Amino acid sequence: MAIVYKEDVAYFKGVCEVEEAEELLDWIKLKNTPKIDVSEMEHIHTAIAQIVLFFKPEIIGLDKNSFFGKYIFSS
Amino acid sequence: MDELLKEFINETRELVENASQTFLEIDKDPDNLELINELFRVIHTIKGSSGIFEFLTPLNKAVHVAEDVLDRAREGELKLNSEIVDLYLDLLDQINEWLDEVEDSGELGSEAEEISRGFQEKFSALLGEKENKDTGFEQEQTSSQSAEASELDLPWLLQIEDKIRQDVFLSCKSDDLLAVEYIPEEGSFFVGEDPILTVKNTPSLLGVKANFTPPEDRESFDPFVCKMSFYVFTEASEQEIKEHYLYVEEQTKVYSLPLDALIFPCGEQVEPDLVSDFLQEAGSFIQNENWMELVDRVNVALEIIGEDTFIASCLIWIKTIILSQKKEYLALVPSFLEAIKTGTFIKMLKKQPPRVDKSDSDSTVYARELTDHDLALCVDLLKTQLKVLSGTKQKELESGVIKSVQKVLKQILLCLDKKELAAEVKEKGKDVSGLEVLLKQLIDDLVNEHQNKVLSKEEELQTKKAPSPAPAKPSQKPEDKTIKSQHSEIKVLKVDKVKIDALMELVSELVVAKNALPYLAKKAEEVFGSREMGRELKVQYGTINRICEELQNAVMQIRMVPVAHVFQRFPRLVRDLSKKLHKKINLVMEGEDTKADKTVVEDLAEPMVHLIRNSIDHGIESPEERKDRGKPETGTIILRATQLDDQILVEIIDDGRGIDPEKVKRKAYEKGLISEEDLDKMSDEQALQLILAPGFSTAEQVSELSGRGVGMDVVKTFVESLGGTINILSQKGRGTTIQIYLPLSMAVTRVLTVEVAGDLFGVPIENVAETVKVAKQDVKTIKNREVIVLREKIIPIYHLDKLLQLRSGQIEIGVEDEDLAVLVLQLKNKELGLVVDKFHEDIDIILKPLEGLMENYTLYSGATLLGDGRVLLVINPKEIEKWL
Repeated sequence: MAIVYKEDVAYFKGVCEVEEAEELLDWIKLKNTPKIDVSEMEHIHTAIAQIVLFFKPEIIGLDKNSFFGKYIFSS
Repeated sequence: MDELLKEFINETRELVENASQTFLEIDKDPDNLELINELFRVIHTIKGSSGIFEFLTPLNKAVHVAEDVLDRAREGELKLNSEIVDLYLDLLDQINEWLDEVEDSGELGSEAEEISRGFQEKFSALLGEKENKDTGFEQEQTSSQSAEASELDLPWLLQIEDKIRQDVFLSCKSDDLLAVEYIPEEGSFFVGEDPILTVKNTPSLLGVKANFTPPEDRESFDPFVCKMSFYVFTEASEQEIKEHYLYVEEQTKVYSLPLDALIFPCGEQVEPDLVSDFLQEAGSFIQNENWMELVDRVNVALEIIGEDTFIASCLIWIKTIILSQKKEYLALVPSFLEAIKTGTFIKMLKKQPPRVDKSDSDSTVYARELTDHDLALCVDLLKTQLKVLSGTKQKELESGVIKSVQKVLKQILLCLDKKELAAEVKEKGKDVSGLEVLLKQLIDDLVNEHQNKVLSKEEELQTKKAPSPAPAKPSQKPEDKTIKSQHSEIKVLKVDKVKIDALMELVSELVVAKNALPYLAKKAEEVFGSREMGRELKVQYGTINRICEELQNAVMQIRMVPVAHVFQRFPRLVRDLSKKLHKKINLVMEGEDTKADKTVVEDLAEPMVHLIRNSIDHGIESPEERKDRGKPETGTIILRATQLDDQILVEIIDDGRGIDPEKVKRKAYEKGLISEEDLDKMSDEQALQLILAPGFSTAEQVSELSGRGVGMDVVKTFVESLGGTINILSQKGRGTTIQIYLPLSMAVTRVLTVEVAGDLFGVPIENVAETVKVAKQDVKTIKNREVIVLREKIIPIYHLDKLLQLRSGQIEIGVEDEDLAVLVLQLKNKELGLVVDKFHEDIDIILKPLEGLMENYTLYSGATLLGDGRVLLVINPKEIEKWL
């Protein structure tokens, strides 16, 4: 499992594949203030990125100079 | 085998088949650009998909060069003559062979490389000097887009934030770059794509603008529907990009653009008063090329001015250009200064000489020549301003509107280089009417000045729905595409034949299972004494029965395919054979839409190939011979499919030399197939059927094409194994017609059930001529055989119980005066009667062939389960004669 859920924080670790999108979606819908920790994230599938972009959880540990930091989660 | 490879093989087979068809059409109509384009697409697809598999490189390479040649044909530089078509057809054959090899062994044979080289050389020879040219397709695309870029008609560029453009500008080492517009299909995740990964791995990536357009409400959000699109900037070569985005080629557009296309400011307009000090100093820094000092001043100015404003954007660009150390772009710094002053950025394009404004010789104004397109935009904008003014009804909004229109008008005038008028805008246009006069006057001027051009451009713009020049407004393009892709839902599903067969199997089991319900109802009534239960069961049975029938029909429909599937391969066969034999043949196909069960259609191919070969080889005469006989030089072969009630009739008709029955008889006699007696007695029609006998060949000389051991008897056996019949009609000198009757579907057989000695048997309904009751005394005996006379026809009768040895030793039941139930069978050339005990209803069954020990009892064609669990054996009337 590349996404580990602990209370209000989902920890993205390594490469998160499309198969994990559904669980994330179910999880994020239930949380009032979901947070995601991307400090150990290498890559996430576009479907997962869409969930993040849609629900706009607080993102922890985003490297502003990484690909995702610069282009995907920049706004 | 790998699923992907399987898919590739199936798809490519289909594409090759299509391409073969189209090439044959091209052969007749070589200038048809639509056909050439279609071919190009097909070949392009084969090339693209074969590129996925490394071991298919020889195939890929050969197709690649073939594609280049087609591209030349598209451009009109090359004519696809008959020889070239031949070469392509050869290549398509070769591809099919390669696919067979891959299917059999999982790889290409050792000689594939050499064969591929052969094709490459042949195709390259057609390309001549331009052999080494890059593939034209992408080139054409880029060149048109480059032209587009050079006019800066790239509305999407306005969507890209300063930050991204500045980053790209800073990291790009050359003067040109590529921008890839990538709008993934909504269903792209389901085909294994990860668009972000594709973008992230773009070679020599400079920057990305990612857009996400989700639905507004939470309920309709689906993370598995791709709603992202990307603009990707890269320094990689076009080839590299083409390769990288190969699998999503149709979802991408590649633009080549000059680096300076990225340089323009954006943001909210503010008055430049705050930076007036900076403006005063900046001029001298530029003059003295004191760039670092200018950067310091820019930093100071940036602290004063608000973020995201037009002025801040200009300032950051100035800083970016200076820090980039790209000296050739320093010339743009004054343009930014001017932009801060006027609120309009007029960029001096690099390749255009600076123009000195004569009206104001003190300051040099950099401007570019306005194109017709720009003028059209101005007119468009001015007209919009008029609309805005006329739409202002509320007094309190008026002053705001006036200010806004004044500003737009002023900027347009500046763009048009009409500075005097621009200066007068505030005064002359201080109210709505004044502004209206100004606007109308300016529109008239512009229209008069460039009437013809502007008008034509305007029309063009209207059709194109020209993008608004307002920087903040994003382009409509990506949205349009999304809508389009929503409509392109999958309409045709490809399903493995095995799955359909499995479905059919299940349906047949269901049919059998449901047939048990009436028995259950009967049992409920008779054994358990519950009539009500029985009735309810019957009602339920009615419903299930109906659904079952519909289901069965639906599955059968899935299996029905048009005979065109078989027919489409014949134009090629006829073309090749007629060329080889130097005959002129026109192939006419009729009724290709006639549908029949997939198995029937597929199996039809083999006998038909043989029959068509026969027609070409033995039937149609050489042009000279035809001329001598007063026939047109070109012979005609007609392939016709017609749907009869529950059969399809396929006819192969030629207008060739026909079959000489006398010759056939003599030959049959020589070969010992018929006796001397038969020779005299046999009718012409009967004689013709002789050619279907094993070991018969009328051709005097065995040619390369037909008569190689596969005789007409094989065709006959084949047709009969499909449950069909074959018939030959011919007129000497006029031509031959071969008729093949086949069942529409092989899945369901309708049988009449008969009872003999307490057992039920099925007889295929198509063989049942009639059922009659005959009084025992009407049975006559001729030559020790029982016969009945039916409508003045003598019909021999046989007792099925004896035939099947069912009542050996038992006394025949039935009383002396009871009528005999006779089932009259229609066999090929005669009728015969079978005496049974009782006739029952006719039912639809799914026939299962007999296996194991029973396999040798050819008297039965198969068996099926009845609703009550009994096995019903189905008699094979074609074999019955052998058992008599």
